[in-house]
Amino acid sequence: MIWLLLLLLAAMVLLEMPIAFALAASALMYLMFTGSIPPMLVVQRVASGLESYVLLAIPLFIFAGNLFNSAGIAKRIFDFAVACVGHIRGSLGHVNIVASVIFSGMSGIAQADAAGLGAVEVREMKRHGFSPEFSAAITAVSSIIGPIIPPSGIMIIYAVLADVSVPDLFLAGVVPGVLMSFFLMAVVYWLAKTGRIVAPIVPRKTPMEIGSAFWRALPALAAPVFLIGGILSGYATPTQLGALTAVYAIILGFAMRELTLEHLWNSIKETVITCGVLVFIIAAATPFSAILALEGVPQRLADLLLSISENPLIVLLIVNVALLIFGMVMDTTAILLVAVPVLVPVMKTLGIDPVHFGIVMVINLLIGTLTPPFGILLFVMTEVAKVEYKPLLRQTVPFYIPLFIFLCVVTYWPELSLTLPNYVFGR
Amino acid sequence: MERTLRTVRRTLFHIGRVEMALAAAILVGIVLMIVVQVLLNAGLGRPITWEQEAGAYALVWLTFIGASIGLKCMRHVAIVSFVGKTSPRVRSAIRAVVFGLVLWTLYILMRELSPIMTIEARSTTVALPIDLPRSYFFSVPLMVSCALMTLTALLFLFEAVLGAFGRDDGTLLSPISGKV
Repeated sequence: MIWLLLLLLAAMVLLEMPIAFALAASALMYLMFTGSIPPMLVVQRVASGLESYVLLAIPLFIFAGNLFNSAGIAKRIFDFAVACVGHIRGSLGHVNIVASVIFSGMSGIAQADAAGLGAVEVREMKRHGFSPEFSAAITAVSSIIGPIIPPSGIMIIYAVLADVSVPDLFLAGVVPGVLMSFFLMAVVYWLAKTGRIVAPIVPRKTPMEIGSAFWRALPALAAPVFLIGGILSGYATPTQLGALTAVYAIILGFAMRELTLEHLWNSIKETVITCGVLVFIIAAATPFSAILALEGVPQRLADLLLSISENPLIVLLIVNVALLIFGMVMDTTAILLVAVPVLVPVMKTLGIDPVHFGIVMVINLLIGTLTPPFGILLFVMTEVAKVEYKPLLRQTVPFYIPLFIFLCVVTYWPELSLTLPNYVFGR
Repeated sequence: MERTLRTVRRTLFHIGRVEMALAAAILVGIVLMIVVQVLLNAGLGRPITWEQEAGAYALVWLTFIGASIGLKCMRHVAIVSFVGKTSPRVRSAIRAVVFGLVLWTLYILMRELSPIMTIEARSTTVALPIDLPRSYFFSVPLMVSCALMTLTALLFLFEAVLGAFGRDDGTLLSPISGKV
């Protein structure tokens, strides 16, 4: 009867019902129809499922990201990136990526990066003669680096669901995140060299100018260092670091005279709404996940996967393809909530490290936010850059192949993710 | 009819402002509490023992109030499919079905929550300075959120039905804001 649950969910999602309500409604309808479990048992877990100090890091990092966006930090980071890589062929395409890498150390939600820093990036790229469509495409693509490099909202959700350490996962994302930026920069370089994009080069800056840009961006550059340092030293938990980063952003914003009380209030409002929408999906999906567990779906899927192959490489390939397909049509958080309890036990059985699998899953789902028909980042960028969907998609296509190659590299080279956390935590 | 809708929208807008003030206070409270905790722990070696428990409870309230505000602002994540390509009347009819389903979900949740509140009220918090029923931090915020979302969903359902009958003048089914 589990098909009924999935059918109901698919129908509601197709009617454009909000994902959170679609998950809860389909689960409750299933319970009413089958009578297999009293609804009270699963409803009770809707609120209590949120009783997690780790999850509290999500609104705090969202808050910090919003504050950095409001405090004029984005422009300083962008100017510093221009000074560093603006003279390379592909110019502001590279700048966009480097700025996203730096900004990713402060914010952990791709949509927020695309809408916040993205607005600055698109405006500057258009001003320098780049096409609006390419500017929007590279901004959408580079914004997925944000949740790979710590902090990361999606990683916190995975960590809670898979019962793995948040610091482990955060550190595991650093090297793949930086490597991904090189992959993307290589594509930008190739597009510029072959004349597929118009990319006017910014004159090389003098060491003095680079120093000046660095000095202006220094307070912002300190934030990721402060965050990683906090994780490495074990001085504070990720949740506490979220709060400290937010306070740092407020102090910085007021000290630089860029943050006003109005900006602060808008950041608070945006954080409340984003948290309400994002974490509410986690709560509303509890009945759905509970039904899957009670109906033995994780075990059945595990058996199915293992009956196809017990080779971890093949299982990872199948899982990656399945996640990419789901990522095209479903919300990232919803997929995590349904898939993590099903897949993580299988990965453990096959000897795959859940931290490594977490990075694979996060990258896979983030690629899903860029792919049609329902890639949410593409929709965000149509609004931010005021461009049409189809031309934007055309400009995004050249980035898919390197992203898939990158996903394969991360999937089949676990050391890429695991070396840093293992080294730091002495394993 | 238009005046009634405007009054309902204005009322919901003011409710939303109260919700936002409450949620903002919770968010700022969380940040302050954690910063004080870190300072006390690092400076005096005397951490606040109830910080983690209070933080987790605050997240529950923040999420459910935020969810209610999110519905008023129409910010809940939905997958864009074919609905936008249909005629305005068909679109409104589909929205009516969606909000009908949302209302049904909220009704079932509230119905099931009533006995849960009684059960949860029997146990109390663990580390907080004062013992409070656990229901204050689980079933009560969910119930409050469901009730508030029901009001919003009722308005949207009504507007969607009006739209389905061709009575949409372009103001229906928009996010609830001060401009009514």
